[in-house]
Amino acid sequence: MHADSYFRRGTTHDVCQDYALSGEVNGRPFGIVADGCSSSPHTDFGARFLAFGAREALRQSFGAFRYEAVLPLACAAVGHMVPMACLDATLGIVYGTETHIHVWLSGDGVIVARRKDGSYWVTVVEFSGNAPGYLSYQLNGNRFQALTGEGGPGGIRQIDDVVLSSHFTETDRKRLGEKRLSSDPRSYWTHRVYPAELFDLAAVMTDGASSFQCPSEHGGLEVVPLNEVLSHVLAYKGMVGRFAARRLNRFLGRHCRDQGWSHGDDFAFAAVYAGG
Amino acid sequence: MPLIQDDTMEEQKIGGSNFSFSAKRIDDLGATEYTLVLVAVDVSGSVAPFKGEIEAALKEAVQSCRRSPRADNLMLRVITFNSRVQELHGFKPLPECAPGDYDGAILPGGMTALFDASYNGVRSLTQYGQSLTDAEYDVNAAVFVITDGMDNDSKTTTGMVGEAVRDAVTGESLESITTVLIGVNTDAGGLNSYLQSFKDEAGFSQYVAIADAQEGTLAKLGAFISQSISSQSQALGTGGPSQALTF
Repeated sequence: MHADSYFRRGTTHDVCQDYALSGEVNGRPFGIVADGCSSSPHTDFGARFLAFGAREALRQSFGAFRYEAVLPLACAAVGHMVPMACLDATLGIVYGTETHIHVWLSGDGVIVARRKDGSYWVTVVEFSGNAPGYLSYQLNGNRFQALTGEGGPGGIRQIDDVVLSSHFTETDRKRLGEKRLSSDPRSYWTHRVYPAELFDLAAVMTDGASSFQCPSEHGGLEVVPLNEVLSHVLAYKGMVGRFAARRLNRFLGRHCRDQGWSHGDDFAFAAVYAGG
Repeated sequence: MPLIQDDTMEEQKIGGSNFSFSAKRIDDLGATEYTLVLVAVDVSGSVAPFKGEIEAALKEAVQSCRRSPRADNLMLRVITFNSRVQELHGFKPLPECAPGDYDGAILPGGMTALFDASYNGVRSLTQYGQSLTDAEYDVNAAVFVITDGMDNDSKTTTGMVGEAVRDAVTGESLESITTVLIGVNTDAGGLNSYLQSFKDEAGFSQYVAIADAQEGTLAKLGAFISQSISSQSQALGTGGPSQALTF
């Protein structure tokens, strides 16, 4: 098993507020993505603090992943130079064990796993009012109340589980029941587990995956459907070393350039490959 | 004779010729991009008086490149040529090339198959570059042909070398390629004008003339090669080759 990651600034951002990290910790391959809120200050730093906080939480977790440890570890890294609101960011973690690949996602984003039969199992997480429930809201009751209280966006997680064929056409979709943020830290997380016996790849990506646009036949731009984006992002020619970076360099640097595609939002991606 | 036997290397035939080359298996490569470097060294009988300096230059180039922040994205193949072309080692990552591997590598004797070496070198770059590009690596290349004499023993021709260089420049296997012909002892017997003509006919991007093979001048050769390699490596991703450096 090994991991790779990649991130790239979107066309509408001056500073990339997404971040990605990958490697191995305690003998387990891992990948992490984070997406800083563009209306909060210095979230390019915050995305990194959360990513490294998550890596440290993985390091401290010899059994099950201690998701509750991430935020305190990230806070400890913030210091005094930037406001704590820099931690307003989503966070995605993928890691492998001997028998499974786990994905934990806080906030919105996309999880995808490749089954050995060629199908893709996709989980799309969105929040009501397009306002993700950031882990940092646990630090300030007023912010939590502003999100979840009357008049606020709601803090409601909407999760779609979608199955795509090997050709990335949709074969099944389930909209799971609403998940509301609460004082329980576990309510902030979406968790998926994939047996390595059945799945050889799992990835997590920021919602920049849904921001790709292409020239429309009628003039202007139109959104590229997520399954079409995934058909390019996951079309690997080889799985050694920087497999994800090579594919994304080629997709973003050549296909998007040649076809006039762009992604307005930053995009971050991390994957664990469990194949031999 | 090859210095290293390595199970992670595989041999490939150069299409349309009797030449072959070896290269790291793509499945063993972990980076996203590579600059492929080919160094072809004349080991005909006439280089005997300065074989030590040539070997030192080669080792200096390897040593400098190993210290580069881009070392993990460089791959080097070294061939020697006299009456025939011999591969010292195939394309392998710079961290796997140790200066000590080149001790005694220059064994002068025989004639000068300059065209065969140039053709072999450029074609191997294009072919391996294509394999890497197909596997979605970004690739560019740099060629250094070091000679002290005119060709007198090749099966290939200047035209064939030119075609190989043109294919490398215009094809899609390499983002860009720089080709440097280095003449040593060019003050001797019309060599300078001969190599200048070869450079023009074959389409080399640069010709460096080292008038006399003094220890001091050849000592600069290693640094020149490593700096040129570094420059070309930094150009990867820009779409074009690096600027030629002055020797």
